[in-house]
This record gives sequence, C-alpha cells and structure tokens, in this order.
Amino acid sequence: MRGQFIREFVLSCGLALLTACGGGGGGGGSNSGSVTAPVIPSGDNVQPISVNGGPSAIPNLTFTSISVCTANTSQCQTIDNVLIDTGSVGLRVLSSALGGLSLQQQPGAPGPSFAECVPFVDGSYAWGPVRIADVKIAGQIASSVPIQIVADPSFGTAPVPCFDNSSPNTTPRAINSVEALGGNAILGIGNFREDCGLNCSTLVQNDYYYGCGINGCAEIAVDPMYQVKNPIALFPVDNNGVIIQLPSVSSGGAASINGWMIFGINTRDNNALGNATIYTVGDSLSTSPGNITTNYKGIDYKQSFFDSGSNGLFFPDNSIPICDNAGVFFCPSSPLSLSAKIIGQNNASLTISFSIANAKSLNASFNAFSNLGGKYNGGFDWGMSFFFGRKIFTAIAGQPGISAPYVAF
Amino acid sequence: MRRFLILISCLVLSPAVFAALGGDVHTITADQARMRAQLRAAASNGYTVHELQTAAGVAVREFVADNGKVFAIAWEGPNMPDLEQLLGAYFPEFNAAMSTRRKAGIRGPVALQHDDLIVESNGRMRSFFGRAYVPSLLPPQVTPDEIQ
Repeated sequence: MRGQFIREFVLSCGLALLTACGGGGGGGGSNSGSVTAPVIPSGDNVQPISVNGGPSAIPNLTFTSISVCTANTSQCQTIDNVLIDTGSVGLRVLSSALGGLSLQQQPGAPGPSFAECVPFVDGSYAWGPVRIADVKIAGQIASSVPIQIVADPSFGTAPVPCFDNSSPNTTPRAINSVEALGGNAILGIGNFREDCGLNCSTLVQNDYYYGCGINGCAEIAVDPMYQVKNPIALFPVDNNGVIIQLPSVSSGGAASINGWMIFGINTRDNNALGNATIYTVGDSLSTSPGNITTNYKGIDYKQSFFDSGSNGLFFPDNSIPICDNAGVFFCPSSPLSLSAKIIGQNNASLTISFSIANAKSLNASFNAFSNLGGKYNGGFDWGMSFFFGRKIFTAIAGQPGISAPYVAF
Repeated sequence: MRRFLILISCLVLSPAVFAALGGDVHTITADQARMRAQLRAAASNGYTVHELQTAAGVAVREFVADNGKVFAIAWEGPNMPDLEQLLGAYFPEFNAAMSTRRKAGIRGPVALQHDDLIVESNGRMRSFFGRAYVPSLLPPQVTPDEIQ
C-alpha cells in the first residue's frame, strides 16, 4: 500500500543533480560542496548508514543499526532501521522493537512513572515512558542514556494536557507502529544535549514531561539530567558532535546510497573540521533554536534549518507546481535549477545551487534523490536531498570545544 | 516572518472567549481554559486578533472577523499547540490528509492546500510555528500574508 502511494509521487526518471557552489558571501572559507570520491573513514567512531527507504520504502530517509542494553548489563537488543535525525534530539524506540528488553527508570527521576509526549508538525505524537539504556553505536557506548519508549502498550494513552484523542472517529494520531514511524526508532542527533532543555526544567506546564501514577499523569518540570538525551553527548569521547558523510547521487537518483556517521568533531584525525565553514545556529528560545537564515528569491527566512529527518528540500515558492494537494512535493514541468543563500547566526554565508525534479518523474523503486523538493511557506528546510555529496558536521551546544552550536560543511 | 502583527488599534485586556477555526468567538471558551493561557485582543484591518500566550511559551493568535467567526489561527513557540483543539471542525479533514501524507512517505513541513482549508506547520522540538485559515471565511480586505 505504501509503495503505491510513493509511486504516485515518485515515478520514473529523474533530473538534475543537486550541487553546491562555492562562492557566496561573508563566510569566506571553503565549501565542501562537491565531494570527490570519498575517502572511506575508519575507526571505532565510524558507523555505516544507508539511505535505502527503510521498512516502509520512504525516500530520502537515512537508517542505521544500533544496540540498546539494559543499563550496566549485557542484556542487549539490536535495533535496525533506526532513523537518523539531525532535526531532533534523543533516542526514541518503538516498544515493539525492544524484543522484551527490560529498561528501568532512571534513579531519582520524577514519578512514580516518568513519561514524555513529543509532538510532530503533522499533529501526530510519540508518547511513552522515559527509561535509561546503554546505547552502543560503532565502538562507542553511551551509558545510562534517558531514552523514550514509544507506544508502550502497558503504559496507557497520552494524558489530556498533552494531546487528547477525544474524536473517536478520527485517525489515531499516536505514532504506534513501524509504519507510522517509518522505522523502529528515531536517533535524534541534533544540536543540543537534551530534547527540551531549559523550558522543561523551569516550567511545570511545559507540555512535554509527565509524572504518571495511579491517578493519571500530570505535567512536571524536569531537571535536564533526566530529560531525553542526545546519546552522542554521553559518549566518553567523540561526544561533541557528528558528521554525516554521504556520496553524491546522480540526477536520476539511486536505489540506495551508503555512507557514514562519524562521531566527534576535531577529536581525532577522521573527524577534523578541516576547511569546512561553520554556520552557527540559534541556541536558545530567544534566538530561534537550531535555526539559521536562508535567503530565497530575495526574502530572508529566519526559521531555516538542516534536517536529515526531512526527506526533501522544503521551501516557499508558489511558482512551482505541487504534485497534488495530498502531498507537498514539487512537480515542475521540467527540472529547475535554483539557488538560495544560507546565513549562519555568525553571518557566515554561502550560496547553494540545487535542482528540483518532478517528483512523479523520479524512479519509484529508488530511495535516494538529491533533487526531491516540496513546498513550505514558512522557511527553508534543508532536508536529506541536501546531504548527498557532502560531509555535514552537527555540533552539540555545551560540549567540549563547542562554544556555540553549529552546522558546518 | 514571525513578527507579531502590527496592531493598529488599542490593545485591550479581554475576558473574552475563544473559538476554534471556523467557530464563533462567542460560543467557545475552551481554548483559553485548555491552554491555561493569558489572553489579549487587538483590532486591526477590520478584524480582531486574540492572542493566547500559554505557560509553556507558545503564542496562539486567532483571527476573528466582524461576524464573529474565527477565520485563521497562527502559532509559534517551543511546542505544538493542540491542532485538534484549534482546528475544531476542520481537524478531521486535516488529520485524514496527514495520515495519507505519512503513508505517502512525506517527512517534512506541512503545507496542506485544500480548496477551503490551508494549514502550514513547521518546526522541530524547541521551535514550532505555523498557521491555518479558511479561504472562504477570509474578510475581503484581508490577505493571507497578514496571518502570522
């Protein structure tokens, strides 16, 4: 069924290739844009990743495999089809993917049972308890990481202050299956150590965190130490960020593209920043957290960002036809060559050239496209299409050597 | 982009009531109560903007025409507002479209463009923003650009 839907959007041959051009503005420095034959990185901080559609054949999502263990034990479960998401923070695993692995609540965490509700822009949400686990990726181990167990059937439904399900005739909004999630888990490796941060440690009514007991669930303020955490930040070393490195893909797309996730920035030879340019992102609620500015066709969009969890380039352009009103992918009559200028909060800037193909003309059996794009009127979302042929650094605020969170390439 | 509207008329504290999209401003008080929000209202260009500021720091603006109907909503803040609440009678249409969209493999910002329902929703944890409006309910002098 899913395949059918995708084929509606993504059919036969594709078009021009997304390429970066150097030049650009005040940032000076380099670009990284066009990558030659990538040097295969090696080391215990290197994890293979693949843009291969995952279990639901969704184009332009990136997956890997990790191991999740009961804290301080050798009881582990391998979890494959884990979605790599630089647009969120924290590991969220479907309960059904844990194979019965027992994970405990962090000692001292609010309770009696501690849980979280995470909203998504389409109105869906992930609900479930927050537990600790040892998370193993490549040769790295993050110990006692607070993670979210999504759709734990023993945990009940989300409480009213979060999202209610008061309309019995509507489609359930809870993310409760591999199909709904697109994988078995989301590995959020964005620019922050915790998912919510200060807002949730200072506000009781933060809408995210709940203490649940026999009388139901109530919102609570939660110290950052108990909040769901970016596992990378809890690695003993190589814990200040991550590189997503993927080879280029031709304008016709590819069935799958394999690359690497490399942990740490400037902590060893294989993760040196080199001549990449840093574009700092906002680091607090008052500075548009995680965001840069993108200037597209003369207009500055301040809530723009890089996000491997978005599967295209989404931006505001009413002149490009969309495929149909169910989706937002673009379907121009012929491939478009466009450009936009990114501007970091440090004013480093770069003009990026990219192409947008007709989504319906792309090969339905392929999963990796540099030229898949769609409409959004509020900002510029540099999703997976942007990541091909690049080595993109995502630095975590507050970690060693990171004075301000940034994306670099 | 996310600037607050320039409010022409006086800002008044209002004990007023709130409504979902397409609803009547005088019939529903649910939003404010549910969001436990502060409320203020201001008139501009022949309509009134009611702004709710929630304890979690989310600003929700509801645009009410002279006929008392909510023709648009806009939001921004560290969390998503409850769209089931804010879209009201339009929520089932939105939700069905979103379900189709997920199955179609679209992961990114929402830009729903039905004939008589526009919903744009974007963001990630710590930073969400969006808007929704009903084209047929827009007062003739109002352009979509004003809804933010």
